[in-house]
Amino acid sequence: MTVPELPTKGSAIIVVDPLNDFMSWRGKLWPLICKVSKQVGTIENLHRVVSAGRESGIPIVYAPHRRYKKGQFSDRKYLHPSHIGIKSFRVFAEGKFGGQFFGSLSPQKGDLISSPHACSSGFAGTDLDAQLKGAGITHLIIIGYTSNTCVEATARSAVDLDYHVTLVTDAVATWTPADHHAAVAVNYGFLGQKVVTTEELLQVVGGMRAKC
Amino acid sequence: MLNRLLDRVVNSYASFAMRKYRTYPAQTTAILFVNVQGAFTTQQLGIVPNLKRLLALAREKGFRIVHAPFGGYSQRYPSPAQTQLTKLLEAQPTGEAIPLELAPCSGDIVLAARPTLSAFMKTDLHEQLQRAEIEHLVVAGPYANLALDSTVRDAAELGYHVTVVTDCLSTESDSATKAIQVTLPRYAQTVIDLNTFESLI
Repeated sequence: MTVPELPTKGSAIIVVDPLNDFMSWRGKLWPLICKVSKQVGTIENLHRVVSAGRESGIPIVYAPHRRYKKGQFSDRKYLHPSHIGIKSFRVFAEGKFGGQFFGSLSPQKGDLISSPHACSSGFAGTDLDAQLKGAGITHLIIIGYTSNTCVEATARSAVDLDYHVTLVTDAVATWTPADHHAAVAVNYGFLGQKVVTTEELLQVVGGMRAKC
Repeated sequence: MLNRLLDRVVNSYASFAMRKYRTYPAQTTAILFVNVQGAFTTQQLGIVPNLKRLLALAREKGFRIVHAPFGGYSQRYPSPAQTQLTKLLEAQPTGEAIPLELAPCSGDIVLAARPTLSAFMKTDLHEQLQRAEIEHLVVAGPYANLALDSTVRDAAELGYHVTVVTDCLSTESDSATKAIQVTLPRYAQTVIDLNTFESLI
């Protein structure tokens, strides 16, 4: 497989929903997501991609889910399927452990943090597009949770907003192996100009530093 | 095993909670045809009879009909999905047209062709649906894991009750069909076949 080139200036790593409820063993969604996460080594790979990005000076952009608080869905007549679970189990609760960034993947000084998304796509109803355009970003590497929901939805919006999209098949995780397969083995190939593994991406990101 | 069981329990719980959405008043229901254009339906002729049946049912019940066609492609970084759809459009001289047997009538909404996968992105679809006071959106179309999938996600995001009629969409491969079967219920509140839809309206 040929290693794709990405521009040193104009690329960014978008980390979708790196929150405790997904990533910590104490998180509310961990029992659901741990199977795929362990199978593909998601947490380790997320760390590797983000650290390599920081070393090469590639902006890290956080696209977090809205934190749950009581009455949050009172203006919605028809709840999104994901809202049913969020509401019932207070997932990503505001001010609580589950709604906080996963310790070692928390934003650092200089990172960009988008306003939170209500459902799925990191672009829907947020300032993510404005922040990226403001920073001159054209090429996105999208990683995080979950493979076929928020990450794929963010990629779908990014495609429509005319970004160049790179997807990383083992720096994402989701509910079941079937969900994961639907995303990484089927739909990513239609959405990403580049679909790579973490190992392949690290080669590209390492090369980007050399050129700086 | 435990993973699948947990996932099923959570999904069944959500499906049960959303069953009450399954009403389709004529005033607030629209059928949204995504990319129902000759270039695509001629590749997946299998869905045309069901699309005709869905259209006939919709006309009988007085649902709003909306067509969201693809075209006018001009992206700087074309995704493989958009490249494929554009190639299919260009392969037929009249490929952009809505098939005659599914032709719109006066009163139907026909959007301008859009270059995006989602029918909501960079179009006035949401405004038009809001103006028509639509709450229930029934989505159908070919190459469903490309544009229809993006459209369903945005519709659910925007607060509609989204219904996917499983035999009114098609894909180009078994793996793509499997992918939408797995993922669309994570977005559409109602996923039913045409017979069930008919029994509900």
